Amino acid sequence: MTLIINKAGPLTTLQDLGRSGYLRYGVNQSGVMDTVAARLCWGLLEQTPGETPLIEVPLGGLQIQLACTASVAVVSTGFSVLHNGEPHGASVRLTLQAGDRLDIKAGASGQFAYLGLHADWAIAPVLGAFATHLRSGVGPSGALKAGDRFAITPRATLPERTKLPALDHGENTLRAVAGPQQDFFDEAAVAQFYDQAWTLDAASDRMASALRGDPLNHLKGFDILSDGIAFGAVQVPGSGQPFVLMADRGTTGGYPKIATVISSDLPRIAQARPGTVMRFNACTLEHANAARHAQTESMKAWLSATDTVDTQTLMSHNLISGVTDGT
Amino acid sequence: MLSTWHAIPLADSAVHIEIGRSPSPDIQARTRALARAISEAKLPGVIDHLPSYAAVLLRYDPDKTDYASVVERVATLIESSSSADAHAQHWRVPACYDPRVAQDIAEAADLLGLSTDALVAAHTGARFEIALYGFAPGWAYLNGCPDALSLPRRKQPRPPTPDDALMIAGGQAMLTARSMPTGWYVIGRSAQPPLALEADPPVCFDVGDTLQFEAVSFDDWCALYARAQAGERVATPA
Repeated sequence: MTLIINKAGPLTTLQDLGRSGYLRYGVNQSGVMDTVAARLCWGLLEQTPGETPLIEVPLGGLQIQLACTASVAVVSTGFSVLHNGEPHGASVRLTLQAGDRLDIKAGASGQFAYLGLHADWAIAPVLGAFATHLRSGVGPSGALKAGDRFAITPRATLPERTKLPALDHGENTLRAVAGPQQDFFDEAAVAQFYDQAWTLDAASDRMASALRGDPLNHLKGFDILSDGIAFGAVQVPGSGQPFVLMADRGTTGGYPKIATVISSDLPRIAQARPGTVMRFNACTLEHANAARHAQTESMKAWLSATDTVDTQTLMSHNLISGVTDGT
Repeated sequence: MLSTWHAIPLADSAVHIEIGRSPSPDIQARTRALARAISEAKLPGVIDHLPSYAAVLLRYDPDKTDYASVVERVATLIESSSSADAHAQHWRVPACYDPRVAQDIAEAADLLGLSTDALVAAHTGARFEIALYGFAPGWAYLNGCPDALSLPRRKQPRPPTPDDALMIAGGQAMLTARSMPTGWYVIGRSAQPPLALEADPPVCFDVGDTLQFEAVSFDDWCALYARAQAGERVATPA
């Protein structure tokens, strides 16, 4: 019983929620860029998050075929899914028969779609995870490519869900708490960071989202003693142009970190395309926690929503703004 | 232990514990002691931790614990942890400084105003201490780089260095694992790769361990490296 990769765009990888327990050996966390879409994908498969690997599909798209029958789920914020050429919404749960083709193609929005199988994969985790860090070569597989085959054991099929609500990550605001080196910037620079519009640059990848705008001035240089970097850390190098550090970030870094984006807003920047204008909004830890709880509830509601008649227009769940937007 | 540390939340699922802002031996020792205590205490909900020179990052599962609980447990550990590197080991590590594996040795020696022999003597004469693993899996930042080997980084990173390289730049020394682009100078190669992905922990040396490199001939290095690739430990405890 086999999963066959017919076509895969560049940088298509297997991911889960990333490695834990190995940062102190320099081993990157990595894992999915959009934890909300990925968690919903596992949710649609009635799996616990991280239970099986997901295929993270960037803009180049993916086509797979199975040599067996299995249920699959795709969750995205705007990709299109075609089952033997028949189009579906951006998120769907389907059952593929042996020989069926599933295409995932980039659409109007979003950077990554997630494909999961209701099946066990015959691959061994590396350092406790299925996540792939291409740059260092740590992971159960390299970038996926046409002709790759994976042995799988399908579980009992699940009913199809073809009218799921659209998934919308909401406005392009990133709530953030003060970073560990906010004192490397004066009040004016901190105010500028939160007031100014920033444009997402094309030089963004799984390591970092690069932002462009009027540069931020450092108060006392831009070299700090290298320290650990969290998912969502906003690092400001000598250029004064901030980077939001993402799933594949290095474990440590030596530039001051002005802020940390809260976990519930990271999917917004993960899915934003170059040219998107983004703003930071200062918030507290309490807001961050409330936003995460609200998001968890919204995700449950999305998964249990009665399937809508028209997926694209009637119902759109905003899973990020929740009820605690702003400060 | 002195309590001049402070904690700040890195949003809602990580904590930054700052022990100090200078890499003094005392601060590094206290940072490592805290990391060791965290490792041994297995704090509920804490899923990873990363000591650097003067800070420890902790990742936690926000569904299992919260910032205040993590900081409270860390405070107790800081008060009770001893800063002695009780577990530190000293290793002799065979290394090759032949230009066939040390691609930048002549360039670095020139920049330092040293003969290559003097450069090798300075590097093999040093007792390095593993300050932290960072940048990439198994890449070890080393304390103890002799002043004579201090030269600035290249202006631009350049294409991959060899695996398991001995590098210098910015007054620092490093032992690398899998090759990555950097702006450092490759002055040798270790016969012992520091990274062992199939092992747990996936590194051969602990943070706090000390290393002394011993120059071996190119042929000897090739033989030792092949044995190390086959899984044998060719670094010897001293």
